[in-house]
Amino acid sequence: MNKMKTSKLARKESLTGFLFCLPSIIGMLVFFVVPFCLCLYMSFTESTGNGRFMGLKNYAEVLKSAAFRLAAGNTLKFIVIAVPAIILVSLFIALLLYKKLRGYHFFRTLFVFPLVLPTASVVLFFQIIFAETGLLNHVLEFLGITPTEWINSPNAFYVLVILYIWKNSGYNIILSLSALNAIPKSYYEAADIDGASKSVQFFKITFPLIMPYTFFITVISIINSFKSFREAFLLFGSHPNKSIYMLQHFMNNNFQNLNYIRLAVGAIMIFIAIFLLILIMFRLRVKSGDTEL
Amino acid sequence: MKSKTHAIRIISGLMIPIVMSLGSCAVPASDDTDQAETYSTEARLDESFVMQEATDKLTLYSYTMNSDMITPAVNIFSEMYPDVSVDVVSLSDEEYVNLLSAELPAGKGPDLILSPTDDFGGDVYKTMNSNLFVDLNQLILRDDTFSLDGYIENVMNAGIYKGKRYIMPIEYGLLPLVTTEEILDEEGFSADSVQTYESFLDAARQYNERHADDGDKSALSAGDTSSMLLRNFLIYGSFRLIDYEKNSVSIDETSFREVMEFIKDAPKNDPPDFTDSMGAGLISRRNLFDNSLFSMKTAFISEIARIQNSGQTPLTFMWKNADNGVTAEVINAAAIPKVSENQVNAYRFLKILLSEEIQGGNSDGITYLRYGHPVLESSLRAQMKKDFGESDIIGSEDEKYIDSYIDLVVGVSHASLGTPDTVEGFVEEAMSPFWDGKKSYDECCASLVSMLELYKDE
Repeated sequence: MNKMKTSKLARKESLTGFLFCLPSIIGMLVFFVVPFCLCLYMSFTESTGNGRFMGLKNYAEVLKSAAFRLAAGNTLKFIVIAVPAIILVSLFIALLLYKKLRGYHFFRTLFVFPLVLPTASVVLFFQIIFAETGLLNHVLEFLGITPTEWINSPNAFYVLVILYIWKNSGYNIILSLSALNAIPKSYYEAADIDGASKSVQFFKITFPLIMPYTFFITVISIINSFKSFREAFLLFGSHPNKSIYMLQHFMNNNFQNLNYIRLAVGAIMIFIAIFLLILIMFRLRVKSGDTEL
Repeated sequence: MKSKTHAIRIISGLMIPIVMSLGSCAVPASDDTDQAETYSTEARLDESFVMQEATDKLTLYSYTMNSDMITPAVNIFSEMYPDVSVDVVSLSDEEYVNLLSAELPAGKGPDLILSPTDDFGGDVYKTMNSNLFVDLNQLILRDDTFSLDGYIENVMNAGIYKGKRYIMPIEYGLLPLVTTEEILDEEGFSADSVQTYESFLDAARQYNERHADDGDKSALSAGDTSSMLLRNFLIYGSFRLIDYEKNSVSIDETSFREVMEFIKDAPKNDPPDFTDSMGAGLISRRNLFDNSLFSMKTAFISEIARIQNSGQTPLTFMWKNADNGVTAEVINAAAIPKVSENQVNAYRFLKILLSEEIQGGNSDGITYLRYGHPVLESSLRAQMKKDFGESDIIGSEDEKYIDSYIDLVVGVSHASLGTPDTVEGFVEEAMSPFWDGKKSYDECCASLVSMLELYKDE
């Protein structure tokens, strides 16, 4: 009798929970799942007006494209360089802020500021700095160093990395700070009593305990790295220097040329790549015995 | 354990298509033969083409560039097919371009696209490659009432891509050059010595060198900015830069270098005002050639009259391409999207656009084809005879004189759908340091080739 009551209650609770989730589920279905399925379908057809099944020919065509391969390589290179860089930079700044140095509140706000700036203003600011006749080249000239081309040269890649770190580190700093604040002070006090040095405390207490957050920060940073296309597009145009020609450039340009099949194939491939990347990260996390966030 | 197996299944499921796709790259796909394949302009019947049934609807989008044609054509269509309801949606220029790119992939949009080729996506050649349009040859070959005989073949063939007629030119333009016998004489040239591509370029170069210290003189009236000159050369000089059918970058090293050097050395004066380009530059001896007229229409006739009234003898010829032929630019063109459910009506409407009534028609003296010349040769001849005949510059003096002008317009050896803005932008971006004397030609050209290589592969 009691068991029956519990199961009825559980069902009722499940239903209530489901109803609460329903708006999100509908939104997810309408705005993500259905378009994704359409995109998947389109990627196997001849053209938008012709549903003739093409098998994997479209995928083979895109993979054969030198532009796609360059874009995929650059995007991977960007993730490999920019994501660890932003994690390290934001963790370093978070550790400084964690010490509650003078001006803590001011700096915390300052680092978040780029997040709320409109992209167009950010781009304008970077143009002023990195243009051929921009601020940086004037400074270099003043110091007796030969000015260099930043925007339309392989250096553009590093400009984009700097822009990405500058724009997105604020969010990561907040996350890192909350991770640091979640560590009980008593751990450090005990370590101090045991005579552990600051570096030992960092590697034995801080680092292991912020790992779950670092995983989340990494995922967010990877997703944000794909969003840096807006800045790249506004700063360098639709056909930038080869060093920063990203997958989003490839897709955006195919959209401009009304080639939706290539666009769909590109989107599915990016999905697969991100999905695999995050799946691998999840597996590694589970393997390391860390299942909490 | 169960979740591990599940994850392996997911990964395998996702990896199989990728691996298979990668594997298939090793095997030459059908398009791998593109570089070797040459496509014919001859129409071939495709047995797999499915002809739609006629419907009772037709949707068209009207905007600045096509409204003059659409209104009379809709009237004719409605008379011929009273059971078909025609929906003409009036749009601003910006709305038209945005809506077209958003609706085509969604299976919506107009049943017939009618616009300048600039508005067929960012690059008309790439749009044709994306297989969005119906091969119009399949409709024409199944139609006993219509053929392309009588249309200017070299212009009409501009819409053929990989052997399929995706785009149908409706009107076209070309670039007449005007000079006077007196100017040529003063500068030491003869009429015959400037009419080939090489001799024209050479004469213009000599003129610029000779008058390098005269601030306001320039061989070409509309040659004051590098981009204006570049546009002229790219389109009318037939520099395609990319062979889209073979998916290769094709730059003719010698002639391209010659043009880039010409642009580099051309004087960069302040842009002339409008009256300067109406022949005033020739009359006042500031130019050797006037290249500001896009077509041989009424403005052209006015300019000839103006020069004659100044007591000089006008001389006209076409801007030649590197093969000494004449390249035309398609202005307005039509295409039927594959997503259209009313393809039969769209095709009927297209035939009306190509008919004598629209090609040669006018409203209150203003031709329906406002921007260029009709592609129907009989309409073109009739229209030019009327325009020239009504003007008092030639009068009834000589029919042959009029015919020689018509022959200039009809004698097109090649037509272009235009140079995509992106490609033009690449040339400007890559070659500007050479024009400004900051980098060598080889460095800039290598940069251009690199840009084009990437672009063609997108």
